[in-house]
Amino acid sequence: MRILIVDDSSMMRAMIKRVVKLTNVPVEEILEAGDGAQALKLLESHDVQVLLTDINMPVMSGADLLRRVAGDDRWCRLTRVIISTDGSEARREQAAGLSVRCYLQKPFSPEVLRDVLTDAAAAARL
Amino acid sequence: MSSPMPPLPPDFERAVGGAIAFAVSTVAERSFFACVDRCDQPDLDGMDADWLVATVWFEDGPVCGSVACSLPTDLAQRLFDAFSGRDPSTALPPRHHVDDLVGEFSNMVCGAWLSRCDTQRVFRLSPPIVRRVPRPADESGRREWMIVDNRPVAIDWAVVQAPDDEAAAAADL
Repeated sequence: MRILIVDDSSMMRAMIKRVVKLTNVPVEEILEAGDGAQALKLLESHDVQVLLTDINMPVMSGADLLRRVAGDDRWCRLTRVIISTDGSEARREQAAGLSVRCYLQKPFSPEVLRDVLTDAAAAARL
Repeated sequence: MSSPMPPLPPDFERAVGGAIAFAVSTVAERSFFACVDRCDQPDLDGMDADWLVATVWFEDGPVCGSVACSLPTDLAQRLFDAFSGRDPSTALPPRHHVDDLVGEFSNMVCGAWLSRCDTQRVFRLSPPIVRRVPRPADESGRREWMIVDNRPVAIDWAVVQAPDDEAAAAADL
């Protein structure tokens, strides 16, 4: 399973990467992008199964990235997860229209991410 | 915010202070495995560490404001180690990594606070601006002090909103 982490904070990407490793879910490779545009380029060139993305980012936001992904059949099986500081109902309602598997508010517990990755790993094997 | 703020109702101010303290506790305990307590103005005399101040601005239509978290550099370093899993006996991380960490701390505090205060708004948050200062300057006059892992942390906050929204926001809190 290949995972793409999208966040403009390098510290947050490192933290999420660390949490992913702590889950013990088998991961082939973890890719990183600092914004939605970089993420799209990586999605074009790599076979990614799980996308973990922030919302508030420069250049291209996570919402715009998810809209582009949702509109392209190549990524119809991609598991999409939002990891954001904004946990408001209004933001979650917006995310519901973006084909997102789940919405994690920072700070989140490693157990929640483990469950998401376990599901995604099972789906990737199908 | 550098512009002067209009007076806010005392209940609103107290409620915001409580919500911010809760946000700091949530972030520090969950992401940084730190112990947190609320406190009054601590005695800063004798503290020789510099401070890192990370400011995040937020905005949604008529409601805008800022949150600035000020941490002594030694605490920032400790939180960095907890967050990243760095072994403290290894070489110190580059300075900009610690700055980035403090920015993310403020970002999470601001997001946790706003999500708790008003669940119907979609706030836009600015990227954190981080600076190093000899002491946290009291710019807004609205400040909460917390103790994180036995070190003082100051949280300065400002909220500016149109009069019609003020009462609604106070009721939400």
